[in-house]
Amino acid sequence: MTMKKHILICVGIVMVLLVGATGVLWGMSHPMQNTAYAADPNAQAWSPSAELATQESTGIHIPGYGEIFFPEGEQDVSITLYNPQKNDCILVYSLYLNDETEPIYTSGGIEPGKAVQQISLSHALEAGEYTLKLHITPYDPQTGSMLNQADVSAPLLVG
Amino acid sequence: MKKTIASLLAASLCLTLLAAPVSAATYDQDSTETPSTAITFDYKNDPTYTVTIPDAVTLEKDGAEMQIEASDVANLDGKKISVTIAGTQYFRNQLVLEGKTEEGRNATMRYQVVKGDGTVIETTGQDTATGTELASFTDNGTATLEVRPVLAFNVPSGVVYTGSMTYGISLVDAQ
Repeated sequence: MTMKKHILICVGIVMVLLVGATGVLWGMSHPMQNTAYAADPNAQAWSPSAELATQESTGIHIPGYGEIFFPEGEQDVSITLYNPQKNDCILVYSLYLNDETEPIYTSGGIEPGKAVQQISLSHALEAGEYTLKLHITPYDPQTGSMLNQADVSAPLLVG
Repeated sequence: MKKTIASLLAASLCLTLLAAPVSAATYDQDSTETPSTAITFDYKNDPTYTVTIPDAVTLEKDGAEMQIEASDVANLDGKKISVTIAGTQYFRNQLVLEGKTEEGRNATMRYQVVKGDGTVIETTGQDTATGTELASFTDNGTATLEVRPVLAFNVPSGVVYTGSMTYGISLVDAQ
């Protein structure tokens, strides 16, 4: 073989190694996301102000709400969408008005012990009384499979 | 030197005394505007109670217990926490589990939910259990129910049957 061919072979091997290394590095920096949900980037660590009762039972801990208040004409509102620390699952919240089938907000995956507290609705609401349905979907963090779900209803006052 | 320091201290004292009336709030008695103070209140909309539901519908041949628990309950103002069946994974929200036989055929099995007072909740094809109350709470507590398979002659054995339920949770008037 001529020197030129030797050089070409060496360059080819180096190129293959470079491409392979780049692929490995890219894969390490982009871990495979669960396609069922994406982590909510706005979820922050949160703990309730009152002490939780000691619970030995398994199951999914679902937060419930009394009356909820949203300001009239505002898309950005405050509500604590919480995943209790004791849960072993990821929670995704979808908010619906009355019996509507389109959600006005859907969160990303919220890990145990974290909450999203500032959300942006799909549209601002007019003053009035509504029923807010918080559809909570838990996911097994290992398999991504959906677990038993909950529809938490609460009166919503907008004014 | 001492005079200089003293002069500086005196000047500082004078400036401090001058700042006090400048920073104090003032009100013009001749103004026609109504004095007011802006008050802002940020309502947090935090959760006010917790309900623990089973994470999956699990069955055993002789039935299995499932528990629904209410905790952190306070200030219900005459209301109760009501936990109902809001839906299931099966067609028309029936209480049916699904599986596959070894041959790959679809298999289904009905199940019943039995409350502590003996009330049996089931669907038989034409009816629905959606909206049926499973448990209610006016304080912290646990309700224990039983889930039983309906083993008809045409239900294939050796199949792993699975399903899911959506629980409805809300505050309703306590009766």
